Amino acid sequence: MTASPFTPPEITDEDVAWAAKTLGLPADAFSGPDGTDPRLHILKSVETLDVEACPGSGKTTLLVAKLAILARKWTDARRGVCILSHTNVARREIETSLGFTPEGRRLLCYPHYVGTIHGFVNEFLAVPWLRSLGYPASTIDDQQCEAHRRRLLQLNQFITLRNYVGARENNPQTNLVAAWHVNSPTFDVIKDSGQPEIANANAPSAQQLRALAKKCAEDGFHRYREVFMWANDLLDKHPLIAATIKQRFPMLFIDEVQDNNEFQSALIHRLFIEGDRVAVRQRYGDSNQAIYGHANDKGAESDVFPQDEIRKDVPNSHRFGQQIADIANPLGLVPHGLQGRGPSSAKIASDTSNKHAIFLFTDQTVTRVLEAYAAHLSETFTEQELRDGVFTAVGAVHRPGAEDNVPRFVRHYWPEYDHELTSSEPKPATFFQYVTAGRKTTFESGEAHQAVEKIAEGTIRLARLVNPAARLAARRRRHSQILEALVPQPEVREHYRALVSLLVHPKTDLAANKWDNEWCGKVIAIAGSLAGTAFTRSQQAEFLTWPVAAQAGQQAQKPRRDNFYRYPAASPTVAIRVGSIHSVKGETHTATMLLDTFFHEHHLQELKPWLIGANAGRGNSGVRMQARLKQHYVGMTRPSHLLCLAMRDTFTPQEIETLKARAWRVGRIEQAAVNWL
Amino acid sequence: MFIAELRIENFRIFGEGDKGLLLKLTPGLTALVGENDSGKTAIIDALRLVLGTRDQEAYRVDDADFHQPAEGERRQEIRITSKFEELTLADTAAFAEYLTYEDREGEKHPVLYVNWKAVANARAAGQRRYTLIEVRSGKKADGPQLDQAARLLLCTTYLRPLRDAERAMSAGRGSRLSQILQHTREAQEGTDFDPNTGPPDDLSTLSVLGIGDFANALLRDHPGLRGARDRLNTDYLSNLAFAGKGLEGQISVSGGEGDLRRRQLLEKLELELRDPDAQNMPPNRGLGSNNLLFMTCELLLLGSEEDGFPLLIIEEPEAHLHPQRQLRLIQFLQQQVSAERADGQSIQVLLTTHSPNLASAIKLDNLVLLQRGKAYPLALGRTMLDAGDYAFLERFLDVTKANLFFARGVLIVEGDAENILLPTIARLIGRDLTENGVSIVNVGTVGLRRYARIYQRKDAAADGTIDVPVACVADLDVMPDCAPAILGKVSAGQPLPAANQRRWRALSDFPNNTLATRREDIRARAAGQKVETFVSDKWTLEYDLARCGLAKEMWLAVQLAQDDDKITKGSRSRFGVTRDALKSWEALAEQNYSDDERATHVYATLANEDASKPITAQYLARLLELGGKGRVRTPEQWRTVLPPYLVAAIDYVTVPAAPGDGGAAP
Repeated sequence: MTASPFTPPEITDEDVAWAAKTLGLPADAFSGPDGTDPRLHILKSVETLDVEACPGSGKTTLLVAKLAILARKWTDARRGVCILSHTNVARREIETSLGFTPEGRRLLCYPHYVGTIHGFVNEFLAVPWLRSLGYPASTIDDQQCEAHRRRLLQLNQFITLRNYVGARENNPQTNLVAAWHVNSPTFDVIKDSGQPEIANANAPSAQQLRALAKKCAEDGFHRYREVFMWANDLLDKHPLIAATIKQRFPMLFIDEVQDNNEFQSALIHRLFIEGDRVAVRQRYGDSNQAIYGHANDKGAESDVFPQDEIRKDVPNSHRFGQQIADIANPLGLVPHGLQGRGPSSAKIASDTSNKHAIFLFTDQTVTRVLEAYAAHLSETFTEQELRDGVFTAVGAVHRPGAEDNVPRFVRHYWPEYDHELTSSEPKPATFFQYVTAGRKTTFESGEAHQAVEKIAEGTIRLARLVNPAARLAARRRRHSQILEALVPQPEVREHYRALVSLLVHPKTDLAANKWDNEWCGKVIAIAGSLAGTAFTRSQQAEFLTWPVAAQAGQQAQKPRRDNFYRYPAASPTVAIRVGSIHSVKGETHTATMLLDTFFHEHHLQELKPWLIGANAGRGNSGVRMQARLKQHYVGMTRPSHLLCLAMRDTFTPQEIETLKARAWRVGRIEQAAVNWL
Repeated sequence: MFIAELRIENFRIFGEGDKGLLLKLTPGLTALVGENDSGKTAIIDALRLVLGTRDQEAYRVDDADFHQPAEGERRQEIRITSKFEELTLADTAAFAEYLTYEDREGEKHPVLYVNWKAVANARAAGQRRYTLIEVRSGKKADGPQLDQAARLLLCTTYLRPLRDAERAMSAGRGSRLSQILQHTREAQEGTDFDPNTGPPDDLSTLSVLGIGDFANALLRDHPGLRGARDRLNTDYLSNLAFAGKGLEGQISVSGGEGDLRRRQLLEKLELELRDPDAQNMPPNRGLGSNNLLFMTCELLLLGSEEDGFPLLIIEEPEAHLHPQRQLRLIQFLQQQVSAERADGQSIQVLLTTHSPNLASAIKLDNLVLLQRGKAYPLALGRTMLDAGDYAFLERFLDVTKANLFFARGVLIVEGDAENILLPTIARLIGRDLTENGVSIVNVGTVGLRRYARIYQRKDAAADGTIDVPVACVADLDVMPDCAPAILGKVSAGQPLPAANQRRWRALSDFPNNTLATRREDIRARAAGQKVETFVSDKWTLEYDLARCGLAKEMWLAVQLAQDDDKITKGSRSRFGVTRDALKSWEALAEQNYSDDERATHVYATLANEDASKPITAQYLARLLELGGKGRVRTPEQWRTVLPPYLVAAIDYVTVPAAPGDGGAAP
């Protein structure tokens, strides 16, 4: 059976003009002043395309504009547009720039799909399939799945397996359980390496492992990668599903396609391309910006992006000027010949040419890097610009590791840094972190629903910790889920509502004594109702920790837990957001500082040949170096105005001269101030 | 796709678990038949709740819709589950995220479950209470909630009983006709009218909108109308306008833009039914004709659409239609459901009816019998009927017999005599058949058991048994040993011919307890579940009546029947015949006959077909009724003079009248 024929809506010049107007862009935003901009052709195309777009090319805006037009002209009630991306950036972009329009709202609901590849595979393949097989899919999460498997391991029936694991997890570095993946519908378990965990499939421990994995699935816990296995299982057992998906989604858009890993690419290929191709596929990405969430994920090999015969390039960036373009260009695996057509002087007018700086530090001065950067910003920009602009300092590694090889991770530059608050999809470890992460996004956007959802998420997480068997489906809207679940207990429901509105309110002081005396008990009651079992604070002490730092007594100067470095400390004029390179993908900043960090080697030190102009492109570099290039290419192409680097002082005088000749300023951080070389 | 299964719990008469409803449906047409309050409308309303309807007339659940069990408190949660099967590719695509994959013959097939749930008295803030509604997919309602837009795809077309067809078909804002035409592709074809170039040479190529625009142009230029408009504008409206903000009237067929303009134009159209031979158009059609028109319009829309789920629900389509037209309608509907749309779907029709006319015209396979909140599909494989039985019943189940679908008890008899006499006998023993809602089905000489098997479930353990007592009344057909000689079949004193040389049987043919075996054989052919066969104690109905205690009445009835022609022509009076009969009865009674011999003599005229059995039955019924009125006997006394098998059969399908119920018997 094949999908019925599909004729895509035509996109006319009027549509383009409408989209520019709706998105609040100038009328020539897509056509360019002379009508020759490659964006116009891409926007109007409803054919299969691969769009290779440089940083700052407005790729997401282009995609959003096209989707808005399609949504407006879409007439089919049973078929839709599928927009897949690695992160939820595309969805959020549509929510923020189109959410107020009928077109945007239509795009975000049935019959269309906008979201991550993972979400898509879950929603359309794995979850219906698992449900049909009798395995509810209430929790899809690596960490919670591991935790549940460890809980199951304590059951008597798994004693042989428990001994097997115990004997091998003899040092803290080894985590056997976290590497388990169910690899077949009969619950064979493999390790990260792809090898079976237990070679002899008939051994008692192997049988117990299969039984444990099955029990875990019956309880509703699955790992991210296992979802793809189940999706493929559905495709094996019911091949018609591919035709079904192509019938439902005759138009497929993939954003950030360079970030797809092999699992995702292979599955998308199997669904949309094998046999009959999907009617229209457009992929958007930048092969130079491919960075993954996990270090050992490999890039896609099965469906290479871009394919030359359908490739369209957008090499001109409206984000930054030619100086930043020239600095970043060599780091591209295959340099585009970046053209810097920016930056716009609308908001930030200060001239930043020849202000791009490399700060050199030693073990003694590493903690003063942010201060030096902040001082440099204060000198470069006006006070108004410091208030309006976006300033960041990011490193490739931001999760804490060993304390050697300083600077290994971001906290080595700033001890107050908390990586849990930064990750693009933060996975807080305590209820407090859920509250603060929610308050942070709400503080930034002014919309309360994000904080409400976050607190609801924390509450459900707590309920699951208490009773893993609690029937709490994985739903998108947690707050309404809780409200629904608590209908039979109106009193608890009212407590929950009151607590949420209190915690969301920006004026509420998150004091520890309030938590201890008042809130904690309510949270326990609410989560207990959801879990269907009562518990005490000591049973979940870890998750219910509330930092004393937030305690009263420091009324005048409450520490703000939001990973913003403020300068000067006494009366801040600039706030620098500190985080990981990964967390700022797709963003535009006024100024960005790249902090050197360590994975096998210090990253920026390794990139020295590309900085001084000795290397360009990937050349013969190995996989690790290619990953490093891509990651720092992403970092360097974030700023519109000012790019800074922070590196350990290892340069020879001659290298410093070379850098200066390449338009860098080089400053050594010394006791009193920065010594510009 | 089609609805294959419907489960209802805690909705109106349907309770929970075993007491809930499970209805399995087949593609095409299904008719729900059954007495009042058996749950037909509850099923229809449940479907309206779970699927929604296209007329946009929302049906909201009411407090009283929550099931109230005989004992205990009113239930708080209504659950309605519908299951869809045989999904086309377009269906699986549209509902991909909601599907459940089920095993069938070793393969996984996608099906769709839609679970609708209403929780009463959910409490919002404070004391305000509301009914919480949730619609989820998944076999155990464990799938995601259905998006509103996805639910709209499932909307059904619902035609209510006694619908106001005339209003729906007439012009006006949002008229059903305009909605239907808007969704008809052909209504959108054609060229538009361009005011600059004028109308095309061939006016028939104009689109609907083009016709409207062309008419507008003509109206605008019409001197009379223009004069009126100008006067309106200059003499009146301009005096009411504010400076700089003019007011101007337009006379047109429709204004507005694009889709809106077309809709307004279509809303001005009206559908009328016309008899091509009639000279003048009557101003109004009858209710029935309008109804028919309305239904055909909805079918047109359903049949031409390319998305959406083509389910048509009709409550009591017989409303306002005379019997022959009801039959035509059913024929037409059965045709429609077998046609395939462009998208590979076929229409599914669910209707309810109280009309034996409709019920008799619908294939037995398509009927679902509703009985006290339970549904019993009569489809092949679900009943004890085999394929041959279906073919037989389709031929012979006529309007009169179709009564049985609406009965609370059924008597199946093999002749007119039983048909005529049983209601009278029942009344005499205090078990009025009409009061008990019992139907008598006279199958003539063939097929008694086939009719009975309609009421026997193949899998009674799973389905339950149909709670309608069915009594078959059959003859034993064994004459007393004295009869062959009395009837002249053999000479007196001669032995009987060999059994295989004659079609009749006498008592001496059944030595030992072989008579009991014969009786049991006859009974067993239609017995089990709520079906029971009552076999005459001796020979036939008339013989047994005579033998049991009504020999005199039977004698009189036979004599009257013999002279029936003369009585109806007026050449003899009923009184005269009766007087002579009483004399001959006395003569017969004086003979020294055994009971068997006397009864055989009474019956002989009928056995030799010298008088008609039905006419005899009519006279007998009349005599018995006179006896009843004269209170000759009490019901208890009547029971002693009536053949026990008849009394047992009537008792089986009826209940004793409650004291003070005012039954016919004193």
